Amino acid sequence: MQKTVLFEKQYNVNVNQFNTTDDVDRFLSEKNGGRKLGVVRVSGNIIERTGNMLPVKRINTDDLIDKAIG
Amino acid sequence: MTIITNHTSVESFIQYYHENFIPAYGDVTSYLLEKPESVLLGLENISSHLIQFLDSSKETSIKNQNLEKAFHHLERATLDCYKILWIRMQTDLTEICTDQEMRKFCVNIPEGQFIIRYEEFMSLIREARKYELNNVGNPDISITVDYYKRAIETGVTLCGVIDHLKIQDYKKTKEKWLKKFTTRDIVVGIIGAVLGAILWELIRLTGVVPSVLHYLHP
Repeated sequence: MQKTVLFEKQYNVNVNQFNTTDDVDRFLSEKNGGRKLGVVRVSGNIIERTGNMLPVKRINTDDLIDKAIG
Repeated sequence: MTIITNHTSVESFIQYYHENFIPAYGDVTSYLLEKPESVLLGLENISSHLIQFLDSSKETSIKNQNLEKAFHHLERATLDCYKILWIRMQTDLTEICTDQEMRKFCVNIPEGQFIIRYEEFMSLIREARKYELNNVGNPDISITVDYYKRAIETGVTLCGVIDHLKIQDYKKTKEKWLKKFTTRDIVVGIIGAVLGAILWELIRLTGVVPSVLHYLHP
């Protein structure tokens, strides 16, 4: 029986083969031309924002370090 | 307010992660092809509590409380996956449903049937939301998750009848058409204004206006 509503049907896989979120990310990245998955903020009034006190800042550390060391 | 119940074991935590969270995460990321921020924040909370649970210097009761909290964060992250998936799906479906041309020509079922199924999709989420709000404080959110999953299943069926190639074509054509008309309208407007100004100047210089006014009001 399928545990997912979309994933298994869309890619013809069994979700039990995936142990971590990283496994899922890597698989989806491979299936979509090697593009790494980014992070997206989806908001809506049905999503509670509990437990997140501070705003989230995205920092590309490698980029900043490379710039700093020239 | 979160009600803490002491029923979580390491085994049940791991089971929930594999049986519920990973499938939900697979669903949302395969639709978005992005990782939702709020789910990642949930995972951050989970790891903090799990580290407390693994800390041998902590008392057993503290460790168990942290495992329990980690479990509740995992449940909420699972629910968030479905909520985010529903929101995105609704945005995509609404775009089609509110555009008469799109729902007529870009879906593979009759327009009326598409609208009926869209209404069903919306009514299922209303039910889910109602159930969720009526059960605030209930630590077991598995039924709420099932409600959201049912709504999404209807959405998946709807998404299956959408012809994405036709939508792409339709959007391109519409964009071209709008660009063409906007440019044409601006050019026509400028030419009209210039011609009008010239004509007005000619009339003024030839003294036609006073004659016409005199003719109208002798």
